[in-house]
Amino acid sequence: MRNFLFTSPWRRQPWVFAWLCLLPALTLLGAFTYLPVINSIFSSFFSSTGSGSTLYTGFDNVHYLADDPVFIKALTNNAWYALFTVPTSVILALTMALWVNQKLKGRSFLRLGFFLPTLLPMVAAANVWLFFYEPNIGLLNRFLSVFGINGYNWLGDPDTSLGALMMLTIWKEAGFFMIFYLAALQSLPSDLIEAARLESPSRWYRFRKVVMPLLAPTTLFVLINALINAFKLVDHLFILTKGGPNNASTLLLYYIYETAFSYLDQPYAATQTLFLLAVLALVSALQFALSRNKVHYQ
Amino acid sequence: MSELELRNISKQWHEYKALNDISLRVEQGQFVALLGPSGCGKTTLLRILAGLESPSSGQFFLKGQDITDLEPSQRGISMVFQSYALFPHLSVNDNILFGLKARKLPKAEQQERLKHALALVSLEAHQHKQPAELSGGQCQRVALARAIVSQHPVCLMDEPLSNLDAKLRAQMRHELRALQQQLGLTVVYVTHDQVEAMSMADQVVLLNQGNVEQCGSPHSLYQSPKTIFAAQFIGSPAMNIFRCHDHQYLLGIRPEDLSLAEHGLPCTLVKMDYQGDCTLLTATYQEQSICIKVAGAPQFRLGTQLYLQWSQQDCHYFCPQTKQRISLTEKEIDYVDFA
Repeated sequence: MRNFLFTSPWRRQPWVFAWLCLLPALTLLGAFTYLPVINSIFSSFFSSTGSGSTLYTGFDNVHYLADDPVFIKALTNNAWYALFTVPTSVILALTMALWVNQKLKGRSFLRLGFFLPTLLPMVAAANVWLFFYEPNIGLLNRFLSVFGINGYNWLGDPDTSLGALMMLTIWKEAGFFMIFYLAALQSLPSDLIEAARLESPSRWYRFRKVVMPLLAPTTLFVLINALINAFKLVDHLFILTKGGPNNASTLLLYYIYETAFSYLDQPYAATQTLFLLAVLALVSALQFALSRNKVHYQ
Repeated sequence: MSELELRNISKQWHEYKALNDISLRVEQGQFVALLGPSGCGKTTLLRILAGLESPSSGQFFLKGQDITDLEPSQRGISMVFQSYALFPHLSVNDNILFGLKARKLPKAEQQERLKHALALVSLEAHQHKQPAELSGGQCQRVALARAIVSQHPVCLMDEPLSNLDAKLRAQMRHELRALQQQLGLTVVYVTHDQVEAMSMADQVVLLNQGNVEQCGSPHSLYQSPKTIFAAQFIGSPAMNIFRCHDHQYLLGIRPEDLSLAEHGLPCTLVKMDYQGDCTLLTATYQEQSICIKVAGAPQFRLGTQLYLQWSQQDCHYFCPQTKQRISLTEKEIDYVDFA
């Protein structure tokens, strides 16, 4: 390779070689990431007319965004959705990881059990949960009827439909994040844990002062991923609620999909997408900034 | 009553016996070195004392109290780890105070002990730094200070100096010993380095394959090794062991106890190893290899005939079967026909 690189013509024009190396990645990223972003920006400010020419619409779409009650609803729904599913699934993941990191019987079986939901595609998981929530033959209502509690239409009620989606998300996500925590727990230096055992009688103190800080990089990684997933995983909506009833369970990305492909309003969908991107970038930046002093990388 | 007493401690993993019926007494303020080659069980014994492992059988007592089944933090024992085990996310101060905060000592008391410990290990200038900003020697001091502030009667040390360079190690050895005597600490110190054990310890416990080979003062280990293993492990280079002609005894003589003379045991020089202050000569006598330590840098050609002499008091006798030291009467010694 070295010889190849330093023989002419590469020696005279090394940038040709550099660009050739970059080409495969650049092509893929360009075609599937940069181009669509630019296209989205373009189409949110211009409207294509039937005759093929484009018309500058300026900030019309942005103004429309602020006045769209469904968009506002999707946004608040998504905020609640993230606020509830992210901490819950992360805490649950950590708890499960701590549990199956101990020496106990059937440990691998438990690990597998916790991880299994992750292996399922979201659509398949949603189908499974459809049978849980189904008002007449659903597992949940059957279980409740044992205690004499009347069945409930979980997905059909605006008060419970979003909650029902959250449950599925937590169930699906916690196992995935558990794997990260489990890996992190197993790579903790054992002498640090032992030193803590000698110094601190309280298990909780050891967890709070030693284990948690050492897990901080993992927690940051998991938090950011959980948050991004809260905005980008909407497959289950297609199966369970379709955003309903009355947009009670609609989420941002699902509404974008509907705008683009059901209402065929691509420019407006592009504006919404840019908004979503901006929100996600902002939140991630904030998370990194806040954790800069809290996260200790070894 | 002994400060620390081990009674018949054994540790077994499946078929493998890591420790075999270890009994030991450590007096208050004593510096005890657990010495032995890797895999002899010394670290396992220390971890059992700390409560990080549990023994398969046996008991041990601290000031007469049975602590075999107590949690590590409840035993009144502190430990310095080989890797120092400093918490990377805490400052020097917080590392030292970790145990005191966990035990919820009054703030004033914490600060007082911290000040005292920092002064003892001269780390005042670094108290707000993170462990990553410290040198190896400084990390070592922080780990020591963390053990000191707990004011536990017993301190365990697991090869604490092995990660330091030779010069710093010699210095820390000296400081550690001074500190231990100043504070009257009871120290159980694991090492594979006989120099550390000999120079620091009041009592050396030599372990081999899970058994106590010999236990005593550094002086007694060097002067009268109980077994061939002890004889060859203590002292550098290792003691020469010769087969005696009638195969009844094994004769051991340290390389430093052999001297060159005009006449004596004839042997042929095969190797010279110049060490600066001394030279190690390797010679052969009837296919037996002999190591001789002589002062300075003698100028011999390889293949030269040398004559060895030694004095009777430097001879150690061992039984070829049991490998144990035996003492011979003067009459018997006269009969020993060397080689």
